[in-house]
Amino acid sequence: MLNRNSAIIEKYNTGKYPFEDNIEIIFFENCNLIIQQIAAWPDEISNVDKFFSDQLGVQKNIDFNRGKILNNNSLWRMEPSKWWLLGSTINLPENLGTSLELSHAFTSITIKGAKSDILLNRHLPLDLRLDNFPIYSSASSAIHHVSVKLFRLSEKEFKLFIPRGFALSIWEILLETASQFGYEIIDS
Amino acid sequence: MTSLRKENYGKINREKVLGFSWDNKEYFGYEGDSLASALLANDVRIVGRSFKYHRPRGVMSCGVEESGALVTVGSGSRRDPNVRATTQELYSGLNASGQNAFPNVNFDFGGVNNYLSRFFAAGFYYKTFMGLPPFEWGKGTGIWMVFEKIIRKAAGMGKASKEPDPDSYEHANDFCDVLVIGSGPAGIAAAQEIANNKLDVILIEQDSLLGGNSLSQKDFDPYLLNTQLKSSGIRVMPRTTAFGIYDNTVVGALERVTDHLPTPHSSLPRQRFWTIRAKHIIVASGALERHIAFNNNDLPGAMTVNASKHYLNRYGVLTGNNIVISTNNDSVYQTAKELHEAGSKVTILDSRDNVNHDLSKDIDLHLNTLPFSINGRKKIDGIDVCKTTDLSNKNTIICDQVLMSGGWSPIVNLVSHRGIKPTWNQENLCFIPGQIKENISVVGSAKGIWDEKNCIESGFVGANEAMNTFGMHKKEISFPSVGGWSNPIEPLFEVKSNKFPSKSFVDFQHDVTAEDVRLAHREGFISVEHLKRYTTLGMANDQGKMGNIIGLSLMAEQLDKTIPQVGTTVFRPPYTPVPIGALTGRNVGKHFRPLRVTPMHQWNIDHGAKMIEVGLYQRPWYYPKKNETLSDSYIRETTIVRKTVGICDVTSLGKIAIQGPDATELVNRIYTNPFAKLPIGKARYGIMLRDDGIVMDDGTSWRLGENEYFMTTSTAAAAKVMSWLEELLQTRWTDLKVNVTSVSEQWAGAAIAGPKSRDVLNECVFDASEITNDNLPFMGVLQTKLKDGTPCRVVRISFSGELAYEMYIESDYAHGMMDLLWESAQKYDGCLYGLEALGALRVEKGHVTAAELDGRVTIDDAGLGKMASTKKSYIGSAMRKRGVLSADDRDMLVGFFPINEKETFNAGTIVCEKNNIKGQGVGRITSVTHSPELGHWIGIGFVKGGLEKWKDITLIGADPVRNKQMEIKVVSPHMIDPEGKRMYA
Repeated sequence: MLNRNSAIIEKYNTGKYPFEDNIEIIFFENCNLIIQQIAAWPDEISNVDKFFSDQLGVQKNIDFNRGKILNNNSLWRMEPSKWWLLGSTINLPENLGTSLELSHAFTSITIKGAKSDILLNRHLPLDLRLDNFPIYSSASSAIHHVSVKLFRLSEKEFKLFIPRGFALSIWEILLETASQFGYEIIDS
Repeated sequence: MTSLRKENYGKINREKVLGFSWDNKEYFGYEGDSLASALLANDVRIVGRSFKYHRPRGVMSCGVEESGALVTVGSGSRRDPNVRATTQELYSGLNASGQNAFPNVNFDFGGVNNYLSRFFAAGFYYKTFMGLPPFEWGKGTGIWMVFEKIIRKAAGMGKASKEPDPDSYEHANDFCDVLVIGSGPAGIAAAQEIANNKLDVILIEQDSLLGGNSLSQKDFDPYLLNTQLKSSGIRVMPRTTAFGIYDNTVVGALERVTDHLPTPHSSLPRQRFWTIRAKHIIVASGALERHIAFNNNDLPGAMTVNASKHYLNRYGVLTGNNIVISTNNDSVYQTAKELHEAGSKVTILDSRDNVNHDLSKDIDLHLNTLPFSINGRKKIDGIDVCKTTDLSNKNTIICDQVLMSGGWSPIVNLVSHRGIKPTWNQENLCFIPGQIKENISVVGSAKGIWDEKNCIESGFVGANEAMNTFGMHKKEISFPSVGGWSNPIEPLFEVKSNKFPSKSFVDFQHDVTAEDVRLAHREGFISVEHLKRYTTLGMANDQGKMGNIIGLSLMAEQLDKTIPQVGTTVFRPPYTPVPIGALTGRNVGKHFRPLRVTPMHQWNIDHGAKMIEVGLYQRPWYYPKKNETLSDSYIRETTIVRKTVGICDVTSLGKIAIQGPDATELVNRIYTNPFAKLPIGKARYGIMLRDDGIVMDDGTSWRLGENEYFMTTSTAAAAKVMSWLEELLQTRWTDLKVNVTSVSEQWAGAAIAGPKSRDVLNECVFDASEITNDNLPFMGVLQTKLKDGTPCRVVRISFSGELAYEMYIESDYAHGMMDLLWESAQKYDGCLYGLEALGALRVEKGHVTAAELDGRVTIDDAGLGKMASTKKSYIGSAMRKRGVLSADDRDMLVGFFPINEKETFNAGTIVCEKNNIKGQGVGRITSVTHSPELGHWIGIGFVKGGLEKWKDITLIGADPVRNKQMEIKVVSPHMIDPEGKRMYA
C-alpha cells in the first residue's frame, strides 16, 4: 500500500510561533483519518440507533449535532439522518441505509489552547460559548466560504474537518490569524 | 484663541511625552492626548480648509461629529485621509497634515473661493450641466467639461494613497446575551445590572477610554471604571464603534486595533470587523451638542461648549482665555463655571429672557442676547452680539473663542437603522427614538434624558427591560422622563444676517449655509431627502451629525411647517466610516477567493507544471521544457498524446456517490439517455437537461454495484449538479430511497491517453495483464489495485479521442499513483499534459465543455440529439420539444477552419456572412486551438442552421475587439478520427 499524503504537508512546519512570548493555540493534524458516513433511510432511524447500540455499545441515542466518544472510535450525528463514525468502520445492513467511505475527503486539524475558541470565531459565525456549544457538540459551518465541520472535544479543544482540496488554503488563513495569539504546530 | 495646558487637569499621562509632526513641524503631546487636543495644546489653530470655500477651520468638537479638524494621517502606503483629529489618539511619531489646501492650511491659494462664494451656492455643480450661460444655454456642457476638472480639484477632501494597503484586517464574530453600546453613565449602569444577574454582557465603546460624557468631569477615573467592569465579568471592547444594527439584533462593529500604535506588530490586524449577535441590545449612544447658525460661525476657535469642557478635564487643555458662550439651554452653565475656575474669562449669551443659575459674579451673563457675527479672519478677534428683540443694534465683545450650544440631539442613528422613525420632542427640541418592537432598548441621553442621575436610572430600567424579554422576571418598566433641565430650552437654530452672502453655516463639512437651504426651497427642493441631495447637507462622513436639525428647522420655517411635519432624513449604516479594508478582512491577495488544489498539486508543480486558475481550482496548464512557450509546450504535449501517451490530472471533475435501491431510477430520470439497463462494471456518457430543456451538464456515470453509481460531472458544474440532485430528492422525488454524497475530494483522478496508455496502465496495476480490450472494453469499469496493493478504479473513457483511461484513487494516495504512472509513461516517451493540451485534444474531436454548454444550448444544438431517448421521461424531456428549441435556424455545433491556414483566430470570434458583418452575425466560435495533427488553427462553435447550411460557403470571422477579420469555412466538429477507431482500439 502507498503511504497516505497530507494535504497540508507543504505548509506544516512544526515549531513554536509566539506572540509577545505567548503561545495560546496548539495545532496538529489528525492524520490517517478513518471516516465512515452512515446515512439512514428516514423510516429506519430508530433501527439504526439500535444498530449502533448493538454494534458500538452506544447506550443512548445521539442527538443531532452531538457526538459520543467510544473506546477506539467516536460517533457523530452530522445531520438528522447521517452519522460519521471516526476511527473504525462497521458493516451497515443495506435495509437500514447506506455507508460511504470519506476518509480521504477531509483534512482534520485539532485546535486547542486558551484562545482556540476565539481563533475559530475570527472565522466561524458559531456561538461557541460553552452553554450553547457544549463538549461533544458538532456543527457544519463555513470558513472563508468553504464548508467545514467542527467538533468540540473539551472546553478549549476542537477538531476541524476541511474539504481536502481547500485544506491548504484554510490552514494558511488559520495560521495567519493565529499569529496574533502565538501558536505552536506539533507533530501530527 | 490661545490654548493652554493646565496643571492638575486631565487624564493624560504627563510622564510620557510623545513627539509628533503636523504639517512638517515637530510638536509634543502626552500619552492620552488626541491629535486634536495635542494641536490645541500647541496652539495650532487652523487645522483644515473647508470643502468648497477653502475657509480656515479649527477643531470644532471633541468626537466623531467633528467637521473642522479633518486631517491626513500617515504617509506613503499608510496615508489615511479625512481622519477626525478629535478621535485620533496621539502616538509617538504620528505624522499628520492638513488637506484640501495649497500650499498648506495656514495659507491656501484656494481661499480665493471664499470671495467667489456667490457662484458656488447650493446646486451650482448641478447647474453646470445646463451649460455655461449665456454661451451654452440649451446646448449642453461643453465649456464646463473643461472646468469640471478644476472644480473637482479645488473642492474635496483628502487624497487616499494609491499604493496597496500594507496592513491586514480581519473579521470576527461574537455572541452575548446583552450588548450595551456606549459606556456613559446609562450604559455602565445597564451593563452592571445585567452582569449582576449573571448574564453575558459585551460593552462597546468607540473611545479608547470608558466613560462617555463622564470623561468631561474633572474627578472621573476611567481606569478605575474599567477595572470594576472587568471584575464584574463584563466583556469590555474599547476603540470599537457599533456602526450599524441589522436584522435579528445583529450589530456590526469596527475595532481599531493598532491605529493608536506607533509601530503596529505585524501579527496584529489594523482593524477588526465584528459581527456581534446579541439576544438584546441596549443603545446608550449618548447625544451630540448642536451649534448655532450665524455669520462666520466657523472661524477657528468656534467650538461646541461641551467639547471645551472635555478638552479641559480630559486633556488638561484650556481652549481659550477669553471665551464667549452662546446658548439657548442649561447645559452650558456647569462648563462656564469650570472654564472660569480654570482661569478663563467667560461671558454667556443666553437667548432666553430668564434663567435661574448660581453663577460667579466674574462670569458675565447676557440674557435675551444672540450671537450675530464672529469677527476675525484666521482667528477670532471678537463677536458682534445683539438682543433677541433687535438684530440691528450690535455690540462687540472682544474674545478669542466662541463656544456654541444650540441644544442637544440624541444619537438616534442606530435605532433608525432598524426603520424606527424618530419622533420630535418639542419640549426639548430634539428627535428621540420612536417605539421599538425588537429586542432593543435605548437609555440615557440617546433617549433624550439629560440629567445624569436619570440617565443612570434609565440604564437600570433598560437592563430590566432586557431581562423581561428573557423571561427572567416581569418587572414593571418605567423610564425616567425625557429632558431634565430646570429652565426650558428655547428655539435658537439660526441668527439671520442681513448681509449677503452670509457665512452662516449649517453643515460645516460641505460648506452648506443657511442661505443654501433657503435657495433650495426657492428652487423647489422642499422634501428633506431632496434638500439633502441638492445642498449636500448631512452628507460626507459626519452624515448630518452637526447640521441636520438646523437644516430641518430652516426648511420648516420656509414651508411654514413644524419640524416634525418636515420630517427627517433616514440614517443608514455606517454610523461612522468603515474602511474598505475592514470590510474585506483577510479576503485579499491570494486569499481573495478560497484556493482549491488537487491532491497532486505539489506533484504537478514539482514536475514543472505552470498552473492556471479554473474556477477556484488550481490546475496544471502546461509543462514547459526548457525555454518552451505555452504554445510550444501544448503543441508538443498534444502531439505526444496522439503519438504515444500522456498523463493529465483530472481530479477537478465533480464526483458524486449515488447509493440506494432507487439509485438506478434516479440516474435514469436525470439523464436524457437510458441508464436503466446499464450493467454493473460499465460506464455511460450522459447529458442532463434543465427543466426548460436546455443542457445543464454532461458527464459519466459508472455502475459499481446493483445499488451504487459513481457519477462524474464537468469541473464547472460539479456543485450545481450536486445541489440539483439534492433538490430533486428533497422536493420532488421524496419517495426515492437514494443518498447522494459529493466525493469530489475523496477521489483523485488522472487521465492516461494515447496509443500506449494500455501498456502504461498494465505496468502500474497489480496484475500486469489485467488491462485488455476484452477485460476492459470501451466504457468498461474495473475496481482493481495498483501493483503495491493500493485499491483504485479504472474506467476506459476518452476525452482526447485516443485509446484512453481514467484512473481514480483515494486522494491521500494520489502522489504515489502519479509516481507510478509517470515512471511507466516515461518508458514510452510519454509526457505530462495540462489543460491547454487537454483543450486542443478535445477541440480536435469536437467534444463540448462549459465553453459550449453555456446555458443556451439544447442537446440537438450540441449535435447530441441521438442521446435523447424517446422511450422514457427525464428532466427536460417535455420542455425540450418546444417549437423555439427545435427551429431549423438554431445555432448548431460545427467546426471552423481558416481559409488561409496560416491565420489564427480567437474564441469569441463572431461568425458573419460576407458583406454583412454586423451585430451577432450568424454564429460564434467558442473554442480554438492549433491542431498539430491538421497543421493549422481550428475551432468549434455554433452557426445558424449548422453544417449543412454553410458547407462550402466562405464566411467571415469577425473579432471587433481586436479589430480583426478573416475568411473561415464551416466543417464537421469531428475533425480527427470521426469513426473513433483509435478510441475503440
